Amino acid sequence: MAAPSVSATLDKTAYAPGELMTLTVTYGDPDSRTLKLTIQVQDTTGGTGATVVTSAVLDSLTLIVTDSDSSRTWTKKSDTGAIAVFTAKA
Amino acid sequence: MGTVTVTVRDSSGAQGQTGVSYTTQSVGHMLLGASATSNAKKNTTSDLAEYLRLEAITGHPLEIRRTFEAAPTSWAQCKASADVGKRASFVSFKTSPDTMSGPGQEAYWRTLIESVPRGHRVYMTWQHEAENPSKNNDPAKIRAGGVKFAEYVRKYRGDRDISIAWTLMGWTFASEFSKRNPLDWYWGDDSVEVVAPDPYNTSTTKFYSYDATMVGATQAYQFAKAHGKRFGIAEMGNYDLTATNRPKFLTDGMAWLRGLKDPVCEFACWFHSDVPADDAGDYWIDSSAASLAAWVKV
Repeated sequence: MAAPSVSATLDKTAYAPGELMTLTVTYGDPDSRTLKLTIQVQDTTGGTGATVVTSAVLDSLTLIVTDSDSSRTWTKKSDTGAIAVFTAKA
Repeated sequence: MGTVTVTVRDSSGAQGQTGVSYTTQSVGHMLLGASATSNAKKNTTSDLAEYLRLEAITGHPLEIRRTFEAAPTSWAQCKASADVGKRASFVSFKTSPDTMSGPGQEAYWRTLIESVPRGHRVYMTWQHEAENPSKNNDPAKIRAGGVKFAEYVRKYRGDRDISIAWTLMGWTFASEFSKRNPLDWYWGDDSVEVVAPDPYNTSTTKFYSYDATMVGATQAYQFAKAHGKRFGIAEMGNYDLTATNRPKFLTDGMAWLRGLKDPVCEFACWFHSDVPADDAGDYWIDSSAASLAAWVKV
């Protein structure tokens, strides 16, 4: 199993009190795979229901953001599965 | 200095980790600075030599300088370029409202914004005090121009420490007296980051404290709070009518500004000048020993 990769950038290096801080995280894992599952149900008479298609992620990733200032809360604003954006108040 | 640590973990427990550092201005610390004019009655601002003299008589470095830049083509052409490594800058640009969306404007602003050195704190505004009747501006053009200005700054500042400030006269926020509506000149919540008014006590007959409704600072602060914006004072001043007015104005005003929370007041610039060039007095911070003493203490 390969280790996941992660990099992060802030939109600025210095913030005024109350200013919005934006953290962009780029992450990935070569082991992660997305499976597409196609499901169809058939009864004993041979009748079939509508086909359902869904997906599942193998080896899914969990992102954890912590701050040396424990009073600061980071809120996830978006996450594509490869790029996540968090914001906090300076 | 703070650090954000980001950890990514897969289902087996394998993980990757990275950290990114930042600094925050401490709450309660307000940048104190000035706009300096040296030649009385000439309305010439942004004088570096006078700023340095003011700094010397203050007895410690000032932290922000207000300059007026017209239309420089790069940061190196800005008077504020002298501030890098020494103090923050509050910069006013004054390109024509008629041309903000015109050909070449985006390229012009891109060159200017991308030439600001990384790590230098800049509050940047366009067409400050646009509502001053003497300027005969069209509010719709100012609003549209401000939106374009903010768009250019956001698009090209990258990780530079540039904040988009919006500056009206303090008097305009005192709507009950001025009969003006700041919203007529507001670029909008999506464009403005810092509400940075110019509240003065310009009365030639009566003293008003900085938080008096006649000055407009209180209403400007309430405007910033209501719109979820940061706050600072781009210009301030008062006539020293009795030689005790300015010390009181300074001492009480700065205490009031430093006491503001959520948002805090990030900066305050004294307009050290004889502007407007009338006979009612001046805003020289060292016009009296008492005024200078009050300034040194704040």
